[in-house]
Amino acid sequence: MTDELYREWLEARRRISPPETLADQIMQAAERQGAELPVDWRRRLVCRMENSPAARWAFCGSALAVGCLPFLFLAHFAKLVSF
Amino acid sequence: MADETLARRVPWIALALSFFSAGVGHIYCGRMSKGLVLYFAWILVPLGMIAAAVLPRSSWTLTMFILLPALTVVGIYVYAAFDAWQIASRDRSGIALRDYNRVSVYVLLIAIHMVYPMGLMAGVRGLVYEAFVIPTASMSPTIQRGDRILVRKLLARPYRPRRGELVVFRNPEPKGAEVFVKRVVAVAGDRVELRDDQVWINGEQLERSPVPTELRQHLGRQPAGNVWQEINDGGRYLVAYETDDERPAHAEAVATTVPEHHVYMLGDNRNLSKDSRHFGPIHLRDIIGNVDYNYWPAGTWSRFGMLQPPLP
Amino acid sequence: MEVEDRELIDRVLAGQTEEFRVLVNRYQQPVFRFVHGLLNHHEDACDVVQDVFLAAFTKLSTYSQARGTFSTWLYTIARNRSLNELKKKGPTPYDALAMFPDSATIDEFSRREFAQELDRALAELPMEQRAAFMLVEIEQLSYAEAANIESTSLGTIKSRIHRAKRRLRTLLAPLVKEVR
Repeated sequence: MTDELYREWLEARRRISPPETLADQIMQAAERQGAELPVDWRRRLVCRMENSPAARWAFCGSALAVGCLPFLFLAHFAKLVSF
Repeated sequence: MADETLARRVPWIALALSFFSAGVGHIYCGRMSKGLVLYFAWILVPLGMIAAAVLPRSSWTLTMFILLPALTVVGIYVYAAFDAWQIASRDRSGIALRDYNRVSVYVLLIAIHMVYPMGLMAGVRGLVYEAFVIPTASMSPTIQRGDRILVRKLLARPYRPRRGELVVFRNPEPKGAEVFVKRVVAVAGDRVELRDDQVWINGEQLERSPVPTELRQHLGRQPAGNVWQEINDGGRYLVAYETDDERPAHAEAVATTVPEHHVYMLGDNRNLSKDSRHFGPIHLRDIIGNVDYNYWPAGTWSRFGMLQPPLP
Repeated sequence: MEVEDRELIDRVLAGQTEEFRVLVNRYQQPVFRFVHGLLNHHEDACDVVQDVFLAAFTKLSTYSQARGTFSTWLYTIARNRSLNELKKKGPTPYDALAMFPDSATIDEFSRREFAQELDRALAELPMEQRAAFMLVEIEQLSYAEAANIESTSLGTIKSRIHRAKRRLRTLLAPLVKEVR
């Protein structure tokens, strides 16, 4: 009996919730302070690129092109391509 | 409490870094040791080449120590990119940042990677093996136009070529091709005589036998005319004597003794070759290397593999 | 797919302040009930929770996850702020929780009474034991996480919870008899 009541009490304690307006209050306060926060330009750049598939493709594509240069030279040394 | 920071790893950044150079994507994801192994995978190429130059020559050596490492490096590049992407996608909550997790480290590693594989390859080309494409038919039927051959520059010192060896040497004349590939038919002190499409070394005519047509067809594009299997110093190789009307001027008889530190060179396509009959014996210092392999034959793969030593 | 905390934090640090709302929505309930458990005062808990999230927001760039997850970090801030609040105000009078509807059956009444007694017993626990009990029993964190938040050893946390449970039992003993 007491064990069951104890478990019910635990569950009830876990159901305690903040008022629904709390999140809005927090966000209002946060936005007031938000302007004063320093912004990391590198993080900002990464975030911008994360939101732009074209930028990601361009970045990965150019990385691939640069990274394939040694293989181009390997092919050149193997006389498979000439330049 | 560990004094380390956790940071999110972005999969497409890991992929791009790995594209720049294999291993850097792993280092970005905190996998330093694996990253370094992948990063230095290019060393397999020169190591394999050096091993191949030291080991007995065989098609197996060519495949395992020269072709396989080159393919492995390509495979590792693809794998590293895939794996870096996977790791970054898996560790979504972030990784513990290390001292090396800096943009400057990645940039430095990538910059080094732009140079070091090429340095390794240039070193290998200068000292161990160099590849050549054959532009003429002067060595047909052994080596044909369009064949890609590997020339071993790592030679025993002092280098004493044997009769029957295939070598690449610098053109002693100022005009024409820079290098030639020919066969050593006589070495220092030998008396060479050439007449009537026959070779005499030290007064003895080189033994030779006709080659069956089936075998010749097996070797791909063939010169018109007689093809013989010549035996020189115990080694066997094929030579051709074209029988068309346009015979080059050097068809006249030759009789000479090869001086000290020199070798006498002939092309296997005897009537279509510019060789020691033109420019005399070649000094040993002009020899660049030994032709070991035909790693990419033109036309047919039946000529793939070993070129030296000649069959006993 | 749910966006990871770390990614949201990066976005906020990159200037996308509005993304902080996702983190607030994700963690306001656990943080609130924890603070509420420590303070036993609804309005004070609201104020402290707002303080906690605002502190988290302004110090987000210093957040290193050295203490593990983002939620652990929030609990740590919440615990420290609650302690400050208690020190400032002194012991607060017990504020009964109105969490059961007024269904006036005898069974319901005894359940409600039992729960209220437990609330009272919890409120009367020493602060350290209450915090440990809240983290492990109510928030269902691991001992290791609780030890991390409380900046103490695993053994200390275990003994605090053990003592808290024993004390709850002692305080409830008369009531248990009565219910039986």
